[in-house]
Amino acid sequence: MKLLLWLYPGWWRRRYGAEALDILESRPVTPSVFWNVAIGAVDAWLNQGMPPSSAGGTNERESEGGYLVTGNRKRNKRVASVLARVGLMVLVGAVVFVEGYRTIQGHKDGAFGPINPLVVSPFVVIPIATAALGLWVLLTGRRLRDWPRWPFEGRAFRLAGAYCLVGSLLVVALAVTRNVGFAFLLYALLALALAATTQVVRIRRPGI
Amino acid sequence: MGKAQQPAEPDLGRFSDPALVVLTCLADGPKHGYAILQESESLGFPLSLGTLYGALNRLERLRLIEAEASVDRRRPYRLTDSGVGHLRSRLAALNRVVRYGSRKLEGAR
Repeated sequence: MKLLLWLYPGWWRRRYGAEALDILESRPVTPSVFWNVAIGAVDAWLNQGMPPSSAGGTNERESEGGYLVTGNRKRNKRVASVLARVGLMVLVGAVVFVEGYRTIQGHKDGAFGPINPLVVSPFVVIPIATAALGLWVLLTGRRLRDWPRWPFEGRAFRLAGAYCLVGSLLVVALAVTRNVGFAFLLYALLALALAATTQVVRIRRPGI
Repeated sequence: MGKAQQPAEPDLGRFSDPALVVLTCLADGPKHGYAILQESESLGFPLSLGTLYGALNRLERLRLIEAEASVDRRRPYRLTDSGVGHLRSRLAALNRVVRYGSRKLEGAR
């Protein structure tokens, strides 16, 4: 039963885990319970968040450090987990697309079709996805529905979006010209620049 | 002259019904998750574990309920003032629907 609760985010387990385990252990476990707990975990990762502090809150600080986009490690973890999921989906999509393309074109021997060199490379696929995400963030300054808002988040996210957009387009250009090593280097530099800049934003705007 | 705007009701989306059940269970005093589950079953709207904690989390973030200090492994929740107001307005709206629907049904006979 305890293993089932590991599907949930850490803050959720600290907040509700003991009581939820108590309930799970006191009731018969059926497939529908498994299913409901699993769906609840997806909901917790995507839509829920640490409630405001009250008598029942954990002792953890709500806001700490400054890492990726703003100074809140928990929210940054969410951003990172969503980006990782998007990346994974794009990769799986690319593989499915390539296989579908090969089947349609009759390349059963594994030979590349005319657009495969572009599609098959994660160095192209991931940056294109990141660029699209960056463009969306840049234009809207928004994230997924129900995410909590905090001061200056629009500015921080637009900044991150600009980095993603410009950097990703550069990486695409490098990857198309087969400079994969440079693409890697640029990604690393981009990440460092993003982290450094958001630290500056955080220092200038305390409380972010 | 613009119309006076009414305060917006919190949007609980698809968790609206479970949230209403949770609020109703808490109407007579603080309860922990297990007690809410049991009461929801006796009420005829059984909540499952994932749904219960999803609703509790949303209600807490909307400050319609708040947690008290944990006792043993269980943490009681109580309605806040805005939670009481929200429950009242939801129940009044439901009452209007019930009365209206009942009148229409009787008129159709």
